Amino acid sequence: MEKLSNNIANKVALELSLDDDNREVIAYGTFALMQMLLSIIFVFLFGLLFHVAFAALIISFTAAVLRKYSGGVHASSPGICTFIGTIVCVGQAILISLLIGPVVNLKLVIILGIVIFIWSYCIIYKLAPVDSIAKPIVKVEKRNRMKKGSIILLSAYLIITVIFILFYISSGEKKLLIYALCLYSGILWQAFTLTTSGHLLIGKVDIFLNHIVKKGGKIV
Amino acid sequence: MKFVKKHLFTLIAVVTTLVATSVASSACWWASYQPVEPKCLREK
Repeated sequence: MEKLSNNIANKVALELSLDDDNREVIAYGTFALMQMLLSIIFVFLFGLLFHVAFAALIISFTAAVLRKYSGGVHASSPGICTFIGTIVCVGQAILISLLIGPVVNLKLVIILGIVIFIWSYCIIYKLAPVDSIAKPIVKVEKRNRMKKGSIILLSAYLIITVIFILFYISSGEKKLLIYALCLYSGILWQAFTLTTSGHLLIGKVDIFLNHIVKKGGKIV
Repeated sequence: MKFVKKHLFTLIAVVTTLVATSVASSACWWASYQPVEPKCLREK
């Protein structure tokens, strides 16, 4: 994917006679755009396969938007990143829609909500933003801005959850509780990726997947 | 044809530059893979 985005940027820069800085920016933007679209398409398609596409997309969007402010652990390649993202979002959607869905009730959603939001506020307040070597956040102002953004976004999620619960109380539509659980799931996963345990888990999965890819490459 | 091609490339350049700027102003992008950020986009 990096090669393709570089090729597109080279072509555009050549046609428009742009300098090296502009070419790098176009390559970076192209890559980001492709990675985002690919992640959404994969989550949607695998979600469709298990009849949980909407729930999986809620989880994916919740985690991804929060990630823009809070940062988090990174995979070593775009392929592994898309793979982990798809498995996590679709897996959680299956768990929520097919396993927890039939037994979900208002009490459970409220209790889970209190626990998850308190934990997430603590983790985000303590750890966000978590940067990477490829994109370090050096400026203190930016770090503060990102932390503030994460907390504001988490508060927005809390308001959305309360709205879901209130609508459920007035309409009795069970789907709204499932959507609230999907929001929790996205928040929980994203907050987890900020922690040391999250780094350890993703790191181990990353090494394992890299090993499989290398082994597969040798066989082919 | 040349006119359309040039406009298409300009559109690609504008959209991708906007996306790159948006990524630069956030902690990270959509997914959990982060390519190396161009130096000209880094905040000093």
